[in-house]
Parts: sequence; C-alpha cells; structure tokens
Amino acid sequence: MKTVLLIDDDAEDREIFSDSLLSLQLGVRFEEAENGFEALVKLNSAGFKKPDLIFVDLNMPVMDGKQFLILIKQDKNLKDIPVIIYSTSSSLGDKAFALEHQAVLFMTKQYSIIQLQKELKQTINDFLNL
Amino acid sequence: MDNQNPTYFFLQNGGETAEIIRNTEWSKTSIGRPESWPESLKNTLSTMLSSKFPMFLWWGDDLIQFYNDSYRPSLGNNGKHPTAMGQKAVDCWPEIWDFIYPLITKVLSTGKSVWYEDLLLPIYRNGELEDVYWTFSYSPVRDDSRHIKGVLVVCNETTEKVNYNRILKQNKDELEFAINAAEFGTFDFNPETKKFSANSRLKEWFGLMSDEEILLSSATASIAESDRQRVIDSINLALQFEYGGKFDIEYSIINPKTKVTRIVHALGKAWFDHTKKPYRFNGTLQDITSHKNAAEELLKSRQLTDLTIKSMGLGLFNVNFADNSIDYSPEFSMLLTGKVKKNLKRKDFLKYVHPEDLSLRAKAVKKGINTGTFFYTPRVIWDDGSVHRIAVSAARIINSSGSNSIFSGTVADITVQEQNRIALEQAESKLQHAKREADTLFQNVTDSSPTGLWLSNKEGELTYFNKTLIEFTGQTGEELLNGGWSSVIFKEDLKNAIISYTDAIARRAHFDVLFRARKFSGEMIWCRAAGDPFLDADGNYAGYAGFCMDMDEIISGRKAMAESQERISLMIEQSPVAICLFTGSEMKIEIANDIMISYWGKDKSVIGKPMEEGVPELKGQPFMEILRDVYRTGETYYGRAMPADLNVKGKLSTYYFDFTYTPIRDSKNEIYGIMDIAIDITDQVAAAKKLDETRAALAGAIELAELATWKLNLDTGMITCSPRFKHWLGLPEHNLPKDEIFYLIAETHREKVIHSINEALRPESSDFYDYEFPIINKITGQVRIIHANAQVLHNKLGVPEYLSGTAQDVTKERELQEELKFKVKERTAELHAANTELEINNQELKQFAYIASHDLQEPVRKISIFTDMLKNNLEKNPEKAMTYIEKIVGSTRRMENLIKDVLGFSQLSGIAKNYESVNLNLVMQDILSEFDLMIEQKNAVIKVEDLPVIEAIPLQMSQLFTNLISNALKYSRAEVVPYIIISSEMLSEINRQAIAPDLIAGKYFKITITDNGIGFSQSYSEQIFNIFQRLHGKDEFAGTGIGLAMCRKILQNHSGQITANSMEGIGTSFIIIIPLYQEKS
Repeated sequence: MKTVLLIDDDAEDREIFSDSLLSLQLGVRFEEAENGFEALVKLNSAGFKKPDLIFVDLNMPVMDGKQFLILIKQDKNLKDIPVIIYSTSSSLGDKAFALEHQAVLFMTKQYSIIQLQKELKQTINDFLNL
Repeated sequence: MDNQNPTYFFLQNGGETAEIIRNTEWSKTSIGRPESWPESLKNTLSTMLSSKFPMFLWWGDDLIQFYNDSYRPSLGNNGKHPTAMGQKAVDCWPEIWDFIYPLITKVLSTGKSVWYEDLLLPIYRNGELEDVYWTFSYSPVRDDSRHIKGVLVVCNETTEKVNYNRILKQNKDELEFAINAAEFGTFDFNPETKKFSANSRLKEWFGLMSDEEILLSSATASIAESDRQRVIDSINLALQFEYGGKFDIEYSIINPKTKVTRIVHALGKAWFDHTKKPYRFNGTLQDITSHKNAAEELLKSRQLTDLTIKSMGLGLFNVNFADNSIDYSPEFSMLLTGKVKKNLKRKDFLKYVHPEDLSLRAKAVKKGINTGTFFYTPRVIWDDGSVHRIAVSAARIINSSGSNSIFSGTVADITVQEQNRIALEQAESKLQHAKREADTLFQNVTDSSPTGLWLSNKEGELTYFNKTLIEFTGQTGEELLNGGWSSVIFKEDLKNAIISYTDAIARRAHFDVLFRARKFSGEMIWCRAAGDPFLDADGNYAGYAGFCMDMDEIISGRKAMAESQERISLMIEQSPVAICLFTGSEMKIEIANDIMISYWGKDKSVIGKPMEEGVPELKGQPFMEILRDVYRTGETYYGRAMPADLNVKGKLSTYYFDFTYTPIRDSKNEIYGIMDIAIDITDQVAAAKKLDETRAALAGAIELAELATWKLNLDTGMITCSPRFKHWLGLPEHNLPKDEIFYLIAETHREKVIHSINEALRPESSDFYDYEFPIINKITGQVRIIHANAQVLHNKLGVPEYLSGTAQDVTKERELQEELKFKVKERTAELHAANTELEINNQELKQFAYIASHDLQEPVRKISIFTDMLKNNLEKNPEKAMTYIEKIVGSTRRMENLIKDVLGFSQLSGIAKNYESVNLNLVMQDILSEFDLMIEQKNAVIKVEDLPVIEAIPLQMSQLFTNLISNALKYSRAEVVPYIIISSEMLSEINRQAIAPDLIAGKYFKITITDNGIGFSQSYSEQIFNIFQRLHGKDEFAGTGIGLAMCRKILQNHSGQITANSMEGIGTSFIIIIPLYQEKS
C-alpha cells in the first residue's frame, strides 16, 4: 500500500486533505506532519515507513516548506521521493523556487472540495502509478 | 554729594571718570548704591576704567551709563560730559536713539554682539551737531546670575581717520599709479647724509642692493663715465639755492651686474630751508632709451642724407669744440686743401683758411655756439697756391651723450658759383650801362663798347652792328646787315627770337629774348638780346636800339643749380625715410618723396602747392606755426611723438611722428626752405597707449573686483599692503614686518599659510601660491575669509625677490557655501529619511500583497470548502455538518480579526501625527481593565511601576501596550503562574548611545515589559517584528501575526525603538525606548 505524507501547520487543511484523499478510496495510506522539522524527524525515525509521495505547505513555523525541500533533496535516502508543493500561494517566485529545487508539482490549495478531489486523483494516479 | 562712598576697589586707576563715579549719587538711580552692585558690574567697571581704549557701559533696565577717561573726549566740550555719567541712555542720546536703541535691544535679547565699522553717527557736542565716525562693538554683559543685564560698548572715534584716509588714499593712489604707469624710478636724497632712498625700479637700473639708504657715490658709479662728471655737477648745481634747485638732465647708466645700458631723463627738485640750505632733493628718472633710440634712428637717417649730400660733391665734417676733435670726409679735405689727406687735426685745416677770412670764421663759430648753427664763406689757399671760395654750413647735433659742443656740417666749393655770381653782376651792370648809352646812341655809339650793340629802322631791319658783334659773329658788317645775323642763331631758338622781336616792334614795346648762337670760334653760347624803340629828334618813332651779350656763363650757372636741385630731389625721392622740402614763407612743397606723400595720404599733385593747400587738414594744427618759426629763426626743430591728424584714404585719423625741421640755406646763407624728415611712430605710440590703457584697466579691474593687493619683500621681510588690505587687517601702517601680519591670520590657518608661502618660494615649486584663510581685524576683531593669490617675482639673477599678490574677501561666498552645504546636508538627510520610509512602506506593501494572496485567502478558502462539506453532510450526517458550521464561523472570525488588524496597521502610517501629552499610567490602567477576564483566568500577576507622561499619539500608545500585554498573557507557560512586570526609567545619554545608537540625542524613557512565558530563541528576536511572522503553528496560539509589526511601526512613528530579549522556556522582555518630547516637524 502506497503512503502519502502531508506536511501542513493548518490542522483544518490537513483534515480537508485527508478527508478528500480517503473519500477517493484509492487505497492510499495518509500520514501527516505539522512542519518541515517534524516531518524530517518522522522520516528519519526507524519505525516510520517511507512515504511514496510528499505534499508540503510552504508557509509554516519552525521549518517552512522551502527549507524542507532543500534538506530532503540533500538526503541520500529521501531525495528520490517526489515532493509536491501544496500551498495557498500562487506566486511565480514560489513556483520558480519549487521547480529549481526539484519539486515535481506545484499545487495551489483549492476553494472547492470537488476540485480538490479531482486534482488529488489525477496527481496520485500520475505519481503513484495506481 | 554722597560723601559716604568709600574707596571702591573697582574705582582705582580710573582717573577723572572714576572720580565722577565715586561722587555720583547712585542711590538716586535705579541701580542703587555701589554696595548693592553685582560683582560682574564692578568687575566690568574696573576693567573699563583702567583701559586706555574708549569704552562705555549701559546697565540695568534704565540703561544707566558709565564711561572711561578714554571715551570722554568723544563727548566733546560743552556736550554730554559729565552729565552722561549715571544718566539714562534715553536721556543722553536723543539724536541717535532711533538708531542705537534697536541695537541695544538686540544685544540684550539675543546675547549676541553687534559691531560697526566707520559708521557715521552725528552727535551733539562742542555746541553743535557734528558728523562723527565710529568703529564700535556692542557686547552683552551678564550679572552674577548669568542674566544679560548690560551692554558694553567698545568704540573708537574714527572721524579723523576716515577723512584722512579718504584724502590720503586718493592722493597716494593717484601718485603711485602715475609713477607706476610711467615706469618712473624715484629717488629721495638727503644732502646732509649724502644718502638717498629709491624705489626698486631705480635700484634695479643702478644695480643697487635693496638697502634702506644708499650713498650717492655708489649710485654715480653706475653712470656712464662720459656722463658722470656732468651729472655730479648738475646735482651740485641743483643743491645751490641760487640756481633754483632744478635738476633736469639726460644721461646713461650701466647696470654693473647685467651691463644693461639705459638712457635716463632725470628730473628733480631740491628743497631749501630758511637758511638756503638744502634739506631734501627728490625726483624721478625716466627710462628714455627707446626714445633715444628713435632719436638715434632719426640721426641715422640724417646721416644717410649726409651720405647723399656727400655724393653731390660736398665735404662733411663733425667738429667738437670742447676737445677740438674733427671727423671729416675725403671731400672735405679735398675742398679745403686740394688733396685728400687723412688724420688732420682741426688746427691743420685752419692753416688753409685765407688769413683775411680768419676773423670771419671766428665770428661765425662764436655765433654758432650760441645759436646752434653757423655759416660762412671763407677763401682757402690750396697747397698748389690756388685760391678757392668755400661755403661752410653747420648745426649742433644732439647725440645720446648729451654734449652740446658737437657740430655737424658741410663745405661746398662755391668758387664757380661765386664767379658766376660776379659775372652776372657785371653783366647786369653792363646792361644798365648799355641802356644808358642807348639813350644817347646817336652821339655815343662806339665800337669800343664791350657789349654788342645794334640799331634797326622803323620796320625792324637792322641798320647797325658794332665791332663787338662783328668780332662775335666773325661776319662783316655788310653780311650782318643783309640778314647774316639770323644764321648765327641756333635754329631751334630762331623762331622764338624773331617772334619776340617782331611782336615787340608791332607794339613798340621793350623786348628781351634769350637764344643760343654760334660764335665765330664755333662755340655755341647763350645770348641775351634786348631792345627798345627810339625816337628821332622830332620825337617820332625812328626804329629800335638794343644790345646783345654773351650769357653763357650766367645761364650755365643757373642750369647747374637746377641740376643740383634735381639731384637733391632724386636723393630725397630715393631716401628710405620720409623727406620733403618746403620752400618760401608759404611753405611750398617743393619736393616730397613717396613715403612722405603716403604719410600725408595724398598723391604727387601736392607737389608745388603750399603745405596748407596740399595737406589742408594740417591747418589749425601746430606744424605751420613751427615751420614758420624755423624759417624765421633758423633753428632746427625736433618733434617727438607729435600727433598729427591726417586725412588718409578718406579717413581722418591721428598719427604720431618723430621729425626734424631743418632750415636749408642758399649759398648766401639765406634760408630758402625747410627740410622735413619724419618717422611714423604711430604704432609705437599706439602700443604705449594700449599698455597704459591695459594698466588702467587692470587697476580698474582690481578696484571693481574689490581686490586688495600686497607684496612681501623677501629680503626685508616686510609686507606692503594696499589701503583695502590694510583696512581689512586694521593695520596702523601700510608697511609692516610679515610676522605682524601673519599674526592676524586665524590661528587655525596660520601655520598652514606660512608653510604654503615657504613652499611657493622653493625653487622647484611652481612659484604660484593660492590659498584661502580667515584673517582677523586687529582693531575690531572682525573675521574675514580671504582668498589670496600670489606669484613669486625674481630679480634678474633669478633669485626670488618678492611675493606679490592679491587678496579677495570671500567671506560672504563662504558663508553662503557653508549655508548651502548645511542645507544640502539637511535635505540629504530628509531625502534619506524619506527613502527609508519609502523602503519600509514598500516592504509593508509587499507583505500586504502577500497577505492578500495568502493569509486573507486562507479563511475564505476554508469557508468555501467547509460550505461544500456542509452541503455533503447536511442530510447524511447532521452532527458532522454542525462541526463544519463551527469551522465556518471560526474562519469568519479569523478573517474579521485579520481585516481589523490589517486596517489598524495600515492606519499607523500616513496619517497626520497629532502628538499629545499622554500619561502612560492611565493608558495602562485602561488596558489592564480590558484584560481583566483573561488575567483572572490565567491567574496572572501584573506589576506596573510608575510610568512617565510623554508626548505621544494616545491611540497608538494604547495599541502598543495592548499588543504587548496580550502577547505576554497569550504566550504564557501553562505550568507556571504568568508574571508580568512593566517598569520604566529615564535614560541617560550614555546609556541611550549604548542601547539605541541610531536615535538622535535627546531625553528618552526606557519601558520594559517582562514576562515568564514560553519565550523564543533569541535568533528570532528581529524576525518576530515582521508582519505575519509566526513562530508557532496557528493551532497552538491564536493570532494574526500583525501585533508586533504594529508595535514596531508605532515606535517608528514616535522616533523610538522596540527590541526583544528572550530565552525559550524562561520568558521574554520587550524593551521600548521612547522620547519624552516629539520633535516638531
């Protein structure tokens, strides 16, 4: 079973994300972390199963999405996991940063749950070959 | 009288005025008895009364007056003294009150001094209102508690100085300028010491060192040897009362070092005391070398003329009667001795003069020495015994040696002319004789007459020839009577002779005709035939009687003269200088060469016309008068640089000429004309004029630019200042040792100026000095900034001699510049501040844009999504739907807070800042009451110390402390009792500099809000003040991320600062530095 990790400080957003993902019934496991630092701690802990796809918010306290992206791409064991930026931002600067640091996709947080589900389905299909 | 006044210490050494002060009833004035006077007043009086400088003091509200002895004369007689002492100023100075009262008020109110220089303030004294000039300063005097209580006037009456300076300046400037412009050397000789002083120009000419006084003998050594004695004699003469004390001489000087020769014209005057003893002898020297050179040139051109004359067979000579020396041309010797002899002395030639004519000669020479010219016609006996008559003509020549006993002249052999003259005279007398004879012809015709005689009948047919004519023609009487006479007349002349003859007969008139005829000997000669009608005994016309004589000798003489005139004319025409010959009293232009004609701007047509007709524009100019004088007196005239207005090419312009008018005499020594030799020196004069103009312009420029000039004599170390510079410096003299003047350079610049002067004097430097520095007036203390320029002047040997320069008062310019600099600085600071603010605003704007795209979107997005989810669950899961509604409400509230904060934050900038006095204690009370509930919930302990009252915007103070208290309560640790301390202290300047170096100096309070909350890493201590910066997840602590950004903004608005010190798990301190007063902008 494939695992998806979402890193977001906003608890409601995590809830919306997991609800949408699970409602798609794609047979994907959901993991979450509140910020980049917590995510790295989890990813490096022995019992934690490496996710197959990571969604990361940009604006977070402690360690934001950008710092996380830089660090994970420097980690031999983790750098091959595809990372998708999942943010409210739609600024060109953020998109350029993401591309430059080998994020595979830049997803802007949606205003409609249907739209979110549609995008999630497409993305999971594309990157997890389901 | 207030006799109780004891001997006050401050009245010692005070003289008359102190005595008056001692005896004044001070208790009747507003300042009361001296015992009650403040120390400062007594000290001021003590200083004032012992000063030799005129001083004056006004004291107290009534401006009670004091003054010292030195001031007293300015009050005059029958004026304000001694009533002015202790008098109220307003009572004392009604005539100038309107002027001085504002000054006094200004000094009293501002505490600043005012000063005036040479100001006209008419005051009443000596029984009338007098124009008085003052240089004065008004300075504040403080009482013992440092309040300004009086005005001290330090003054100087400058009436005399102003008047004197005005006249002196005029005179001196004019004189100096004249002397400089004319490039005169000046000397001043003291007959007693035999020493003289001289200006540098004269010293340079004589090669004298720049000593103060020079012995006359050391100067005369530089005079050319040939002139020396003459000059010394002249000086000695000038120093004798009987000779009028005048000194006027030309001589040459040779500079002993440079060997430069100058011809100078010295003019001087000796001054005698009542015992007729000379006490002073001064004058000027003018370098006339160039004039002399022009004169020499003229002389040369004359010599050229002489050369031409020589080629006409004239002998030339120069004789010096002083030493009996003679120079002569070979022709001269030839004419006197019959041979060309060299190295003859004057006395050798005298041997050749006919003994009978020696007295003639002596008389002529004697007259010549008196009048300057001589002429005589002695006979000379040649070595071969033959007698010749010569004409000796000479004139005094002026040469550069100044001797007056040298004559130059010509000799001509006039034997032939003399003989011709005699022949002509004889012929004329013969003619007279013949005419007499003709009257009684019938009886007296004889063949013995030496003149040819003839008779004709009524028809003009010749009837008689005498023997002389028969011998003359070689024809018989018969042949002659039969028309043979016409065959002897030269064909070309025959027609004219016959016409004259027949014409006369027809009119019964006298006839007189010249013709050439061939003598029996075959020689062609000139004949003159003349005749008149004669009457018979009855009184009827009977025929003509006449004579015919050989005129050859006479005619040839005339022709020779004409030829010689032609040669003179040729000589004149070919001369390289302008020459013309005027003849007759009407000054007929006899001959003029092309150069002269071109000077006149005319053509050849002027020749033959009287001067006033040929060159009409000269009418009314002095030349005609001079020519007539020369013609009348026979004295040569030397014109030097004389202007002549001539019409050249249709334009009337002024030209300048050096010229000579030399009288020309005929063989009888009669003046018949004047030789004019001229050189056009218009260009030289124009150049000299231009130089003068340039000098004048320079002087004008110096005056216009208000430049002062100065000159440092490197030898003596004396600086000579122009009147303006002297005035700036407040100097007593124009000429002062340099150290005295250097002393008046502001101390800050003195060393540098001296150093840079020394630099300029170093041989390898550019010799140019350019510097700007303040100077201080010695009298008034006024500071001027001057810009001084100078150039090193070297003497002929290349040794620096002077540093000569100008100075310009640039005080105003510099003050303006400083002001400008200050303004620029101020503006730059303003601009900088504006830029910084703009940058901050920009940054804020960016952050606003970010929030618009992020933080504000977040609740909207949530509401949208949760609404979707609510829809989905509304029916199948109403419980779940309820949570979505709560989430929607939460998002809405967050959005509301966010919008409110954003608005609040944005209002912090850009709105007019109205500062009021704010009591922070009251502000804090209000805030704490708002947080009552939260404090109770958290069991928080809040301790507020006494807070200051400051100038601030009340609302913003409330926002500031609300945010900080709210943060302290919000980020408290759950496990401990929240403890918040708010303290305040006044900040010392040293501490302010240590804590907040970026703030401007002033009074500040430091307010600290300390909590024992969760704290944060010190590395975030700056970041936390950025807008929307959160250190904690949204779920842990509620908040919009705007609060601290607002706090920082508020302190920016109040010219203060806010910083944070924190430690995780221990607590946080926010430190506010805020000024007590806000600067009004």
